[in-house]
Amino acid sequence: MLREPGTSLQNDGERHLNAGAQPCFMLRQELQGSYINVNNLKRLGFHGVPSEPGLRAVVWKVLLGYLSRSPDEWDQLLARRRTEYHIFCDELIVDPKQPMYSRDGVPGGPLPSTQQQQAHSDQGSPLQPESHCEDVTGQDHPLCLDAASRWNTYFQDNETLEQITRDVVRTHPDMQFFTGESEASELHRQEMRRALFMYAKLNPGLRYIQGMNELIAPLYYLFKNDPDPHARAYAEADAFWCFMELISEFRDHFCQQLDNAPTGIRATIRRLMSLLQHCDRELWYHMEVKCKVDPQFYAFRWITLCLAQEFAFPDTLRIWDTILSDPHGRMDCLLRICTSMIILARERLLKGDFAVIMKTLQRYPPLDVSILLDHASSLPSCSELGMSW
Amino acid sequence: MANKPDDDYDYLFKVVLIGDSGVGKSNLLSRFTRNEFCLESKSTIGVEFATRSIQVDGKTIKAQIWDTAGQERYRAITSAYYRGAVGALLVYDITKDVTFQNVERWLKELRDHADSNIVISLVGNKSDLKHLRSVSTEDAQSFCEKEGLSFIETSALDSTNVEKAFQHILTDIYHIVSKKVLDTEDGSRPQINDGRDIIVVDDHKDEDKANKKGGCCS
Repeated sequence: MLREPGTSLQNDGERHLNAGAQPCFMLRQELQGSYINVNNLKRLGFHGVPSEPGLRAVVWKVLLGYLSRSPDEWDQLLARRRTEYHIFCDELIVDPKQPMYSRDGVPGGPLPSTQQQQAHSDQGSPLQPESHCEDVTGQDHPLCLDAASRWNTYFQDNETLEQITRDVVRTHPDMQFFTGESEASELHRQEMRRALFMYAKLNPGLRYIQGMNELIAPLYYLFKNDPDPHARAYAEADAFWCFMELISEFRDHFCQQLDNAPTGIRATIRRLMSLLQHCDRELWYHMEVKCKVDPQFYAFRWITLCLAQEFAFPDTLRIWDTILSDPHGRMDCLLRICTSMIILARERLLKGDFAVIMKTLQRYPPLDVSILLDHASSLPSCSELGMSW
Repeated sequence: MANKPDDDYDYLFKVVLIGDSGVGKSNLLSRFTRNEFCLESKSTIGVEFATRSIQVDGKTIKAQIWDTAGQERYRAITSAYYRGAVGALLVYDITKDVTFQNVERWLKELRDHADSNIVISLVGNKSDLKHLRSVSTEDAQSFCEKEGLSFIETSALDSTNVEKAFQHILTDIYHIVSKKVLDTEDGSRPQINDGRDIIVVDDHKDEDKANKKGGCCS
């Protein structure tokens, strides 16, 4: 129904700035009403959000449920969420040298608080406690074994931060925005790092898992490039909340304890294989049975990262337009796109052995992303096939 | 398996790269298989795979090298990657003591998931960062003597010893395997313990010819 082959798929990513004036107009119109019809927005977004400055940022915020359906409420809503985020930052960044509950803006802790962030650029390593005379006779001190010790928290936080830092500096190594040496790039890393750290602190059961950097990157990039300077200034907070929304749907894939649960990564990969088996039995048989390629060797990354590492960045944005808009759900859509990736490489895969299959799917050959999305939209949804979630 | 390989390699060995995240596993892989190095390469999620063939004693040995994610979360899922591995390069970063301290945990990981006869080599990477060294060569060496591992320091950045590290482990594996072949009366594919293949000969016929004899792959 809504997934008829798209005719306006020419607007892939940022390469065709002027393409698709019509969908652009329709999207703008949809966003300007007093009440947004999200189904309409999805229908338009499914075929790609034109890369008009700022448009995709707003559409994604609505699709992710961060912005409400009533644009009149946005200013108030954004102000509240952004303040909330900054309060989290101030409360959760532990500086054991400061008295408890102090929020007087004194620099310190593993990350500078949001108010004084520009002054610091310590992405290489978290700040170490300064060496000065420390009164260790109190209840809390650096060698305290108590789990509630602020020093303990501080050390644990530093470990998390080191891991986040290692990944943030490796996010899109080909893009100046993320990995350049300018002050702006440094700030971008700093903000992404803090947003991921806040997620880790607020989700102690999961904390930070490698790959989360790839999921927050497109969000932060879009928001930081918003033509509205006010929105840009709060890109970090907005990216944090939108990341929370996005990952809520995919978080079980990151969780080791759920690997074998019905919502875990293994079950999702099995669903992908069922879909492939349904759509192209011969190819599925060749890959999984004959060549014994365990699908987790390639699909694990595809699925946990929502394809963020497989394509050029503008193509990833275009793919996410569709994933975020799919009326059958994001996971369903992701699996259909993954299935299409396999089927579109069919010729090479069928001719190949284990090694060829692995190399092809781990370094997916360049293709026109609109062809991929067109193909994916012609596949049945998992729910239509009776694959329960 | 009875047929003599009519293919471009005599032996196929699976080797895994393991170690903490950020120690340079992916760069060792890309340096060895593609002669490439990226100062900041993407973090590895799940597993990456590459192949390269080398010559040992006139035989063509095809190395199938698997690079895995370093973070704890990915260990359970990566345990499948150890299946059939005959070699492991256990990598740490000579500038980060904690990555050396964690070597024991990685050894345990191998004991739990890999074949007990797996050949293990400890690799101290980033040897170009001399001014930042925090793990001495002597400490690593004496640890290896104690654990019965071979040891080498490498730099994926300036290529030092990368070739050698892979050459050594593949040669060691080859010697063990060729001895086993001689020991096996019918010369059939040698197996160890629970029947996992330790080598795979001529199973992969369609491999692109570009990988033959030391060529690089991508």
